[in-house]
Amino acid sequence: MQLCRMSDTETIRRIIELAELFAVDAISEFDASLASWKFDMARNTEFEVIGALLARQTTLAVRIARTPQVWNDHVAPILLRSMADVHITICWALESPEERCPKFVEYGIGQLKLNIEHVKNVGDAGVEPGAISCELPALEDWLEGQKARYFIDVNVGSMSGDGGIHKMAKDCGCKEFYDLHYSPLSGCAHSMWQCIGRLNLTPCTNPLHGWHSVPFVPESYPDLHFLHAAARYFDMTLRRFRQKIGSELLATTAAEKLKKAMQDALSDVE
Amino acid sequence: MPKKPVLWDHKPSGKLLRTPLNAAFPSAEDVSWILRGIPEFIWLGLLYRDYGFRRTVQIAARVSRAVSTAGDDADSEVAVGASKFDALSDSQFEAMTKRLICDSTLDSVIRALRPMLVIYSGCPFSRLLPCADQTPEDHDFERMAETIAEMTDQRSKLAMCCQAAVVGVAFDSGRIKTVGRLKLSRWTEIEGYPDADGSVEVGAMVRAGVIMLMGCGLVSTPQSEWPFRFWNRGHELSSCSFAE
Repeated sequence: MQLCRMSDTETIRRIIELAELFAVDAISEFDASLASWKFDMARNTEFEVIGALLARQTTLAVRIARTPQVWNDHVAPILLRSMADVHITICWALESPEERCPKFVEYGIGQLKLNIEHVKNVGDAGVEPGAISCELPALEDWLEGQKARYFIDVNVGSMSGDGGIHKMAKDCGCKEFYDLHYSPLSGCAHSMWQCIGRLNLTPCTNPLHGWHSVPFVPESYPDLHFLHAAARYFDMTLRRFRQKIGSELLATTAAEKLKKAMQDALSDVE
Repeated sequence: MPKKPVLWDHKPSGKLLRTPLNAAFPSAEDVSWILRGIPEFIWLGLLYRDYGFRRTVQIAARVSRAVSTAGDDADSEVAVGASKFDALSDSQFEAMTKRLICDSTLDSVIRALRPMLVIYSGCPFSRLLPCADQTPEDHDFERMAETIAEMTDQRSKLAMCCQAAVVGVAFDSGRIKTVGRLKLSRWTEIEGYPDADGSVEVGAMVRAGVIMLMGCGLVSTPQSEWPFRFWNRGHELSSCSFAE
C-alpha cells in the first residue's frame, strides 16, 4: 500500500511513528540477542564477524524504517538485496564459524588491500579514483591495524570458493530464500533489463511512433511493502542467530509487533 | 618507465595472490603480541614497574633457572612465558618455589605480582599465593590496567624491556646463541631505549626475536589456553568502553 494514496494524514503519521517504534525495537532486539551469546576470547573472530553482520542487518533495517523516501521500487530493492546478502552470509558463517569467520576476514582485508593498490596506481592516468581516495589514509591505517600488509594475500575469486553466494545459500539451507528473494532483488541492484525496462521506460502511446518506449525518471511514493520486507529479513536473521546459539526465541519480535500494529492502523483505512 | 601492474610481485596460487613473504614461507603462522604476548609476559611488566630493567632480568633468569632444576622431568624449554608455569606439576612448582626462597627471590616476585595473583585467580603463578581468597583492591586493578595498556604498544618502553628480558633469559638458558655482531646480542641496550644510540634498531631485532621464540614454542606454549583465560577474566571484571 502506498502512503500517498491514503487521504488520512493521521494514519500516515501513525505509520511513520510505528516505523520509528520498529527501529527502536529492532535495536533492542539486536542488543538482547548479542547479550545472550556468552563471550569467549578464544572465539573472538567469530564474535566480531557474526556480531558485526548482525549489527549491519539491524542498521540496514533501521535506516530503511526511518527513511520512508526509500520505500519504493527504485531504492528499497538495492538495500533489501544487501539485507538478503547479509542473511545468507550470516547463515553460512553460523554453520561453521571457526573455519568461515577467519576466511571472511581474510577475504575482506585482501579486497581492501587491492582497492588501495588500485587507487595508488592511478597516479597520472587522469582517471578519477573515486570516493575511496579521500579516505585513503584512514583506510590504510585500519588495514595495518588488521594485519601487516606484506602478509595480506588477495583472493580474486569468491570468498567461499567455487559457486559464490549461490553455493553459500545451498550450504546453509537458504536456497529457497536465494531463489525467491536474493536473485530477483539482484536484478534491481545491478540495474538489469528486467528492472530498468519496467521502472525507467514508459510506453509511448502515439500510434504513429511504432510503439516504442521512452526513458524517464519517475516519481515514486513510499510503499509499505518495502518496510515490511526489511522487517521480515531482519526477523529471519535474528531468529536464525538465536536458534544457532541456543538462545530463547522472543515471545514477540520487533517485526511481529510492527505487523500487528500496522494491521490495526490500516484496518479502518481498508 | 612503464608502470607495473597492481600486485605484480604477488604469486598466484589458483585465485589467491600470495605476498612474496607468504609464498616463501607458506607454513608460517601468525603470533599476536596482544592476544598472546601480553598474557605471557605481563608478569615481567609488573616486575619492571616495581624493580626496573636490570632487576627484572635478574629475577626472570632466576625463576627460569629454578624451573629448569625443578626435578628430572622439568620442561627443557625456557620458562619465561606464563603458560610454561601452567604446565608445571605441583611438585615441580614446589621445587621451583623452594629454590626461589633459597636465593631470596620469592618475596620480590610475590610482591610485584600481587595484582595479577589476586585478580586472576587460576593464573599460572597462583600457586605462589597460598591464600587465594585475598580480595583485590582498587590499586591492584589500576596497576594491572595501566601495565596492560602500556604493554599494548609492542614498541613502548615497558613492552620493549619485557621483550628484552625474554631474550636475556633465553640466552641465559643456553637454548639460543648468537654471534657478537648481531643486534640481538645487544639486547641489554634496551635499558636505554628509545633514546640511546642504536637502541631502536636493537629493539626491532628483539621484537622479531621474541615473536619467533613464541612461534617455535621455546618461551611460551603456543596452544595454551592461558591467554584466553586472561582476557576472558578481563571481560568478567568490567564492561566495554569506547572512544568518544
